Amino acid sequence: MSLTCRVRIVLNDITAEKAAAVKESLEPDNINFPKGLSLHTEGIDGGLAFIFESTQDMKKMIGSIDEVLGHVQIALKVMK
Amino acid sequence: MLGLGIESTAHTFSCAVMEKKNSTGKILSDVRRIYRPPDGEGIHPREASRHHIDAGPAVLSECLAKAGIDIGNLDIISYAAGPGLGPCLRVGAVVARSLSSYYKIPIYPVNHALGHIELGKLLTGARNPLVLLVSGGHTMLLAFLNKQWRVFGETLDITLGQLLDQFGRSIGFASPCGRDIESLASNTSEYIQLPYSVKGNDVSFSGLLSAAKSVAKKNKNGACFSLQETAFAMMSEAVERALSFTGKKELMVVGGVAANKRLSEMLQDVCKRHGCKFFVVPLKYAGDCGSQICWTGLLESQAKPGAKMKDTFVTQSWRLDSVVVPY
Repeated sequence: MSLTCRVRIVLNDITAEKAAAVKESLEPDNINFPKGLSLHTEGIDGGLAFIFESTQDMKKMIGSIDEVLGHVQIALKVMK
Repeated sequence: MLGLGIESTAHTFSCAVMEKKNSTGKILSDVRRIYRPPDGEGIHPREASRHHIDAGPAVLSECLAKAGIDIGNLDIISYAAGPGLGPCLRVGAVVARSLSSYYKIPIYPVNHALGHIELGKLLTGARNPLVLLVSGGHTMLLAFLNKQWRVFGETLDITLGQLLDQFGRSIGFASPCGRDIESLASNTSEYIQLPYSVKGNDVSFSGLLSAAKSVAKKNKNGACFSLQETAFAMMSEAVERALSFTGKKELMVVGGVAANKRLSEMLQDVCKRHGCKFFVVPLKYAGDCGSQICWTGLLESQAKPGAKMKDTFVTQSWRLDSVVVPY
């Protein structure tokens, strides 16, 4: 049985400048993820994609997704 | 020069705008929202960070509106990078980085404890004080020498703010509990013997906390009075020894517990004995606020450029005596 899973979340309809700012604002904190969990952020056409990968505890990934999406939300709200 | 400061180390999310002209600073706005845990419970880091995420955008908008400026008018942005609660710190950092990146404004990570001291100096006019920093996160005696704040005494276990909050919660108050404890203490002058622990010039409050909780089961007023008298006498002893050792002629009290009038009374007595001027940060700015971070960021911007985005860290543990003050 494999516990490996991958979640891709796409943020659509934001400008390239805002996507770059969100990416830049999140990256410095994404270096100390729990073991077996990772986040990769990539710019896509018209938006931004977040790829979470977990090889061990899926519940930890849910917590990380919750926190990262909270950060994305506040970043977008303050960049009016 | 205009700066925006963002504070989010624990239960407070705050933004402030300040203007710096030469060495003078003026607070144009300082807006705060405070996470309140349920009565009797302590701060839950993730719950507090969710509060900050919900409150943040409105706090920022109100802060800018009160200051009468747009984001584009800002010269720098600073944020509290630590010490503090990880999830809470990250919210403030994300807000600061987003604004910095999107609007191309230099960014400065700031030590939260240094913020308390620098704003205290600005608002009180103290020039070269011995500093007593007493809050939920710190209990430290500090003096400045060779570009660093040096520690001349600190807690060996919990902080003075934690002592008051943990005791207060045990008798049903909501954090922060200092004001409620001070109020109950004022109802009596009955002193009950409690553990008094000063080791060298450091203090230890955990035994005092356990004993005070035990006394409170029979006598809440007496426990509050005796807790304050004992803890503040311990701090006064440490302050008195540090004043003698450093020869400082100013004492400045900063941090959330600086709001306690009884603590100020006892420290003023110490200052009288040492021919020392007494300063206490104004009540409105004793607790955590964006102005502390903003002013420190403005001071740092005199001496160094903004940080590169990849270097905009947050750290839960960041001792003040490891910070080099460049200005």
